[in-house]
Amino acid sequence: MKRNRIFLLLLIFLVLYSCKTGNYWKIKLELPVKTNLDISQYKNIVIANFFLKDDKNDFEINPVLLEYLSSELSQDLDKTISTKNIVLDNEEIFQNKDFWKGQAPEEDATAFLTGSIEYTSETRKALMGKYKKQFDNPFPNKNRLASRKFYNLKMNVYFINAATGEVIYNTNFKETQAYENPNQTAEFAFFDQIHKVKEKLFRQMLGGERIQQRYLISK
Amino acid sequence: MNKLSTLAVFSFLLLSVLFSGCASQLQHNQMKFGIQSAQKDLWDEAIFRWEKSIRSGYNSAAAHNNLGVAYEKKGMMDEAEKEYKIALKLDPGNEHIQSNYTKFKKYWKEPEKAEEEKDEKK
Repeated sequence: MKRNRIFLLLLIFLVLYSCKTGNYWKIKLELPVKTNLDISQYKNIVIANFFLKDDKNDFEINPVLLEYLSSELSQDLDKTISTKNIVLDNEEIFQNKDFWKGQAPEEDATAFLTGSIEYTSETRKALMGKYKKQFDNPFPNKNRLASRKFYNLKMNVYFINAATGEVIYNTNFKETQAYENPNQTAEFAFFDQIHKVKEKLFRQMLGGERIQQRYLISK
Repeated sequence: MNKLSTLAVFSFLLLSVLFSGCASQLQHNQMKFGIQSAQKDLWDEAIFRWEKSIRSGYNSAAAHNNLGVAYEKKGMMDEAEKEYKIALKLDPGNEHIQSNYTKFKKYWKEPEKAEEEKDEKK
């Protein structure tokens, strides 16, 4: 009888062991970023002026932007990069095929990189409470008025086929950056934000790799 | 006689559990070997192990899920999606497979949305 009990216990143990819950492993994968824009067919990229919306800034955005983009694109792309000063009157101009065909340079396989930009700033103020000290404080806690300067950048970027005037790719970016320094200049903040936009835009154009997490399971 | 028959029944049960345990242990080893290979970035070896496991009749959700991950890594998107779907069909309630498939769809089918979410998290 005692031997039967041992057999029974052993059997229960084996059944439980075989039915134990499955294990899993987290694994990090470097996956290629899917690109929606194929620029391989273009040999030349002409960076045109951007249409400025509500421009109240104390610096010229277009020369700064064009110089920055042409410098960065030249480093990362094996293509001829140039800039062109094109007067853009409104946002609808990007859909005007004839307008862009008229701007096309002599070189074949050219794409325009252009778009619209809205760059604004605002100062926000708020009462900030002081943190409470752990020991007895003989002085009462006082709230202080703190201010932050916010810069907002909205960019609508278009790639346009110079031969057909058609928009081949359109994407939007929105960046907001806060600064404690009330004397932060708009131009300096613009560089911070345009750098972030560039990173995203180049990822969309060139691909690259991104870390993703997945689960491998054994049962 | 009664004791003897009880003992015989227990022995039979024990042996059948042991044999089935051994067979599933072999499959489990294949699965684990595949996982170890994947962890060492040897994805071809991992795919070989998991495919072998499925071919030998071990049609588990885990094997299909792992193949989905491996195909994704190799850039074989159609195959990856097929494997994730089979895995979910076999084990619809498995949160790890659900997570993998959701991330797969978000990353490959809606890349711009995934980009925005990543930026929001930052």
